[in-house]
Amino acid sequence: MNTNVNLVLPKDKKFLEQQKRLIIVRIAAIVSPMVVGIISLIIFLVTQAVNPVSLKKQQEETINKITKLQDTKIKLFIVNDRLDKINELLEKRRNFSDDINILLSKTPNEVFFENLEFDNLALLLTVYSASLRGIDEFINNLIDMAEKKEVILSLVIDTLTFDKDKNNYSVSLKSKL
Amino acid sequence: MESRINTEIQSLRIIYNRNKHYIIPVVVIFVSIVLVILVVIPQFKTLLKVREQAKQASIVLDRLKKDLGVLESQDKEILESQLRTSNLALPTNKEVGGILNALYTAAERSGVSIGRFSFQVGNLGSEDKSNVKFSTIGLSLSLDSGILAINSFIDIIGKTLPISDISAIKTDDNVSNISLLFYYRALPQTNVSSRIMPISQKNLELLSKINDYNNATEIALPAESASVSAKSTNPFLP
Repeated sequence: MNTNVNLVLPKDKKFLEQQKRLIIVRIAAIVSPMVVGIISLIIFLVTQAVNPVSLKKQQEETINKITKLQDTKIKLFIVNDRLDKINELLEKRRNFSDDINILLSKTPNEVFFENLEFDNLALLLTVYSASLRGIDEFINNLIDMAEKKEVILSLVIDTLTFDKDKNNYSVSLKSKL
Repeated sequence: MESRINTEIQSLRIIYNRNKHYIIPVVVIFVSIVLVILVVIPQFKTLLKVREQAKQASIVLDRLKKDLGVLESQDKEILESQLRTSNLALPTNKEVGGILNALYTAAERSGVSIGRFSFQVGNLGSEDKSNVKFSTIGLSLSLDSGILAINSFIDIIGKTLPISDISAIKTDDNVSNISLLFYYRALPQTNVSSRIMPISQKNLELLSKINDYNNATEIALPAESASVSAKSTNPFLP
């Protein structure tokens, strides 16, 4: 008689794999809601922590303090606005006085102004002198100024006349500014 | 037919018996996945949104605190004086008296004689000019002086408040005509949410510069004629 009989059915490989899979699925089933719950809780707590409600409250407090200083705010605003605009005006303002001073400094002693017209775009002037050399020197000085773009940008001689009665040379010039 | 149905039921029963242990775990996993989609993802989106809001609120708060700091650091008396000076330089309306004072101050200091003059004042009624950059009052002025005195007059009027700008000069030996523009600007509309800026260094330097200008408006207005001779004193002075 054979005494080596195994009464317990051997667990085959497939069965063991099924058991293992079942355990994994059960663990996953236990862990997954826990993970979802923990993640949800963490997100909730972080959301609460970064909630801007306290910042909004601080904002309101600061706005209230600023409102109390409304008068200072308006004055400061007006001062800044006025000064910006004054700066703008002064920057675009042409200094005619400097222009005239430069022009006078380039005028020889024997040359005299008969007429001078300035605006923001052009200069018209008439000078006279008993000396043609003085007139020539003055014109050369103006040509030099135009070349250097100093006060004037161009120079056109309109007329050059001689007044016999006054014994004067007179020249009319036109310049762009 | 009946035996076929029985066979199928048997098959289903076998499949059920073989997999019945998986049903509850799979349902739980499925529910977890559904929870992730329906709860966790929207919650995460909310977190991102709240974080962005908090960031914005923090920026706004910083800005407000800086604004408050600027306001609290202002000396009220100095600010008042700065407001007065800037309003003298660029008045809020047509200050004809101030303009006349400026003219006569410059005329007196440069030794020129003011002849005839005319204003282009425009509408004196109230207009809403808060959005206009600059408004001007034009002035044509005749001076009984030559180029040197006129040059001095131009230099002085340029350094006299209120701010003016010369648009044209015509001069001969004895008579000169000058076209001037005097600027004014209505009070701007203040925006409640606009930033509060301290007075910049550039503007402080400008304030110091215009403080040194002649302040013609401090001189009292004359009671009599507006015409003065070259040697006469400023009619606005006592």
